[in-house]
Amino acid sequence: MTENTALVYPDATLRRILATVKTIAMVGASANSTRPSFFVMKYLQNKGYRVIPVNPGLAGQTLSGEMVYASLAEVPDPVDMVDMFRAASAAPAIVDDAIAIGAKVVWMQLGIRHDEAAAKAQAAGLEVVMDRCPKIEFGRLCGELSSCGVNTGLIRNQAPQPPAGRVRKERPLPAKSLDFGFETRAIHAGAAPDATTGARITPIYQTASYVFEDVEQAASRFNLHSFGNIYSRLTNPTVSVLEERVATLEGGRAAVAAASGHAAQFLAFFTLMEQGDEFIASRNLYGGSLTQFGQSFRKLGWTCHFVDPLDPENFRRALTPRCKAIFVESLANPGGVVVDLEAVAAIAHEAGILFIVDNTLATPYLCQPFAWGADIVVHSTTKFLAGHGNALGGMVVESGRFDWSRNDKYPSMTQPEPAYHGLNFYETFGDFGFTTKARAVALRDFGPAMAPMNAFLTLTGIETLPLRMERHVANAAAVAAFLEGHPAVAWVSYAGLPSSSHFGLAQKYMPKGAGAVFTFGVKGGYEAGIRVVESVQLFSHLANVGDTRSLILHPASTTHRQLSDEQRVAAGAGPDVIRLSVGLETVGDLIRDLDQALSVAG
Amino acid sequence: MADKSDLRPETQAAQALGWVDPATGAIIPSIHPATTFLRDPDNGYSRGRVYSRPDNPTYDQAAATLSALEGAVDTLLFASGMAAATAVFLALSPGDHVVVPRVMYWGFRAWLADHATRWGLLVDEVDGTDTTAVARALRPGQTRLVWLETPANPLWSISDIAAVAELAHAAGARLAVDSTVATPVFTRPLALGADIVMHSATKYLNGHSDVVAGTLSTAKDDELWQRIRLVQSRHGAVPGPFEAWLLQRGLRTLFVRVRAQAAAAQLLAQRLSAHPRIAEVLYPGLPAFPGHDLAARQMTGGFGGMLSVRVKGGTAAAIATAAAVRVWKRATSLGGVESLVEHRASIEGPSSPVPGDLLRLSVGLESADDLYDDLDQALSCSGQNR
Repeated sequence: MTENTALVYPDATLRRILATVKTIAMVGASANSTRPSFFVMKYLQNKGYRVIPVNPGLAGQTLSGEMVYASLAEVPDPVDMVDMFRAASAAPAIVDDAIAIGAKVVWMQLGIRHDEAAAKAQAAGLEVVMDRCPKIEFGRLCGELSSCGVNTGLIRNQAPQPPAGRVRKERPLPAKSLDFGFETRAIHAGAAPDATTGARITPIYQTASYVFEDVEQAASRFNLHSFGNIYSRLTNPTVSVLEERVATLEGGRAAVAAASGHAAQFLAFFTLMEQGDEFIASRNLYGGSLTQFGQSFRKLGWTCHFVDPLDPENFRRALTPRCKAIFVESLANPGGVVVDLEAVAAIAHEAGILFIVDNTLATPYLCQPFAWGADIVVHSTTKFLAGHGNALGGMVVESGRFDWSRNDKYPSMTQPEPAYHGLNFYETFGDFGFTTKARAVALRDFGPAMAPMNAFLTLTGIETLPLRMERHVANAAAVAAFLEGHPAVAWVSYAGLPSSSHFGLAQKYMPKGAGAVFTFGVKGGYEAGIRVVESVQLFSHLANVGDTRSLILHPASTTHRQLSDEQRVAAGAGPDVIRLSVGLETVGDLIRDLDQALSVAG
Repeated sequence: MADKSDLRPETQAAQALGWVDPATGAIIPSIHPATTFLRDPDNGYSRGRVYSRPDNPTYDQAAATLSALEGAVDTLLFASGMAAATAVFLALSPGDHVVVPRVMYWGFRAWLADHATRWGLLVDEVDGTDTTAVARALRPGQTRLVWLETPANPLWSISDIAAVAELAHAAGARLAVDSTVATPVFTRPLALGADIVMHSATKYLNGHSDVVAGTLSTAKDDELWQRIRLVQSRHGAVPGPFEAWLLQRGLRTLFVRVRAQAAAAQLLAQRLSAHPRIAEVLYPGLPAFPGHDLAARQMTGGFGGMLSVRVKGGTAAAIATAAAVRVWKRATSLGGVESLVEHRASIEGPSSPVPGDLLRLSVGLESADDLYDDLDQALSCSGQNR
């Protein structure tokens, strides 16, 4: 009945359909205000469409000011489009009715697809759209959906316009959906010239709140019936641009920003986990994540099992019935470890659970975790995405491809949400249900929102991400090669070195380069390590990575200090370990600086 | 911008005229970092904005709010008070005659004596408090501009705006007033007959010592104003969008800040007048101050937050007092939330009309008792050290 090929509808087609239809018969319209059909009917009415509800159970009643009819055949007025809120099995009969009443379009809702019925409708001259929601497509094309951080797939050089209503001057869209390159998306995705002023650069919306046109609009926004801004803890137009930008660079469906990378991880897990739930994480993680998962999350009733990621089977061995996710860093901090993403993704999906990848150190320029099976990507945008050491931030990106309804592990996504009058987030928001839930509940109730100024600085940083990452990895490779040949250096853990045991995985998952953060061991252990970080004159001794400036750190005495000796060694932060984040300076200067520091230490 | 002219100035300031972003409903204006604006396919600019130097949308709310407060038809923002003040004179032509006061902000006085004169303006310095002296200096047909600063920095002498406006207009000249110290809370020069009002917005308008900016507001959109507009755009001394945004933010609290500062200044002036180590207090709110009666007529609701004291024991005692303060900060500028003390004579140099025993006080929002106690202990230190 359904094929596995993805349905592709050019924006021009959807825009033309939404611009030409005026009367929509909604088969399966519901009087229950928590049902998706109720949302869609209210929304489309608000956009100026006439929506005629069809539902035998409600025939004769009035719904949102419109008489409900028992069947399409009984609708007395001409109908342009039939919007189907019924299971796919009902499609053949509804298509027959749609043909009989002279409708021009059959639209099947999110999750609904029936290729044979579609072919029949098309043979009769009707247009067919399947597995889409007209409310979401309208919101996407007119720019409203951008407030949800959704990757709209649009690149704009004009302010967004609604497909219907007051349209200034329609500019023709390409007949096919276009793919834009990474560099183009890094500069343009999510942004559009300001509708009011024409300003070409995204404004910094330094505002706490947004005016409602009337009480009804306010209520519909609070109930998530319509898209739009309420309060900057939930959405902010500058932050929304960044959310869409990162979502598209990752090849994801939607994203939600947070005040920091740690806040992003909190939003992701809070949305996913119930008390008593468990997850498995690689033990090669940023030290702060080890502490967050191992200690602070425990207080919330969530248990994290840490495993050695070098053998993917370790993840399978740690699975328990209450495990809800597997978490890894694509390129691990502090250094040089590349996880076999495809193998771990397969283990997670066999178990019916999420695969979450922290892509901070690789960035979407070097590594695309969604292409290897990740379901959620998290970032500390503070690092290479912002890139200049000047703005904190985090991001949760959703692939849109995880089927939350295939088991009962995720009640937060598939069961009615009491905080929103029983709304079911997966059913209502489909492939961006997770980010919508993370925003509407976790961000709303815990409040770690990204500041608009930080979003602006991060957006500006991302514009040069491809250029910066090219140079970061070129400099890192040169510095790593120099260190490998230095007599005071015991070992170098950089996955871009052919001698690294991770070289093969790095070639597969990040062929453009193995990042710019790695570790090396200095002969002479803890004391020698401290002498190196205290002797450098160009590298900055500080706890951050992903800056234009080169940074150096002795993890055992800083970021990984709270851990036991055993944990430190397991995390790659033993006493002799020095971490570098190689910046964009002249590479000869970096090598000279390390050379003199190593000679002082030795 | 919606017409809010029926509302009282406190309301206009607090809400920055009640502006709401039409696209998003945001109740606070956005910061527009954009340097450039989209051109229409037909080559036009239907939104009216071309390039950020004259057109940045972030300027709009600060400019419109100040226009409302000053009763002006238009306001321009500049990169500094100096950029605003000099723009008025740069809009004139070489050979034009201008009349300026002897006591005024010394940096601008130096510019007039140097650049303006070298450029060919004929600059006459007069006693700005003496209306008959202004009348004598006017050259009908040749005098294009009279400049006043009231209260005038740092002696806080008062000029009669209405009287000078009448004289200037009769001679065919315009009157521009530096109202930085008075602020629109206490004086509205345009309502008194002035043509242009200037502010160093760095001071009270922004109020938090974190923005350098200047403004000009005009009673009429006439040829002179159009020339000033061109000076602003072509010389390019415009503020950054973030500075303009901070300025609109500061303007919202102008009335509460400035009224509190003036009340504290009045209290300090009265208490310091009785201090044994103070020779004289210069503050328009003191009945004994020479310009007090005029100030009481011209200023509404207060006399500003600036005063100066003359310390017994001369220059050395004044400098020693400034050295001994703990709460007051030794720094130049004025009008911020934090109180500043400055020995002006050593800044302004030998040509200054400011006596060596004078300390300029900019009263902030601290407890007036703390401010007095701190000056009291500093004055006693200066006495011991001598």
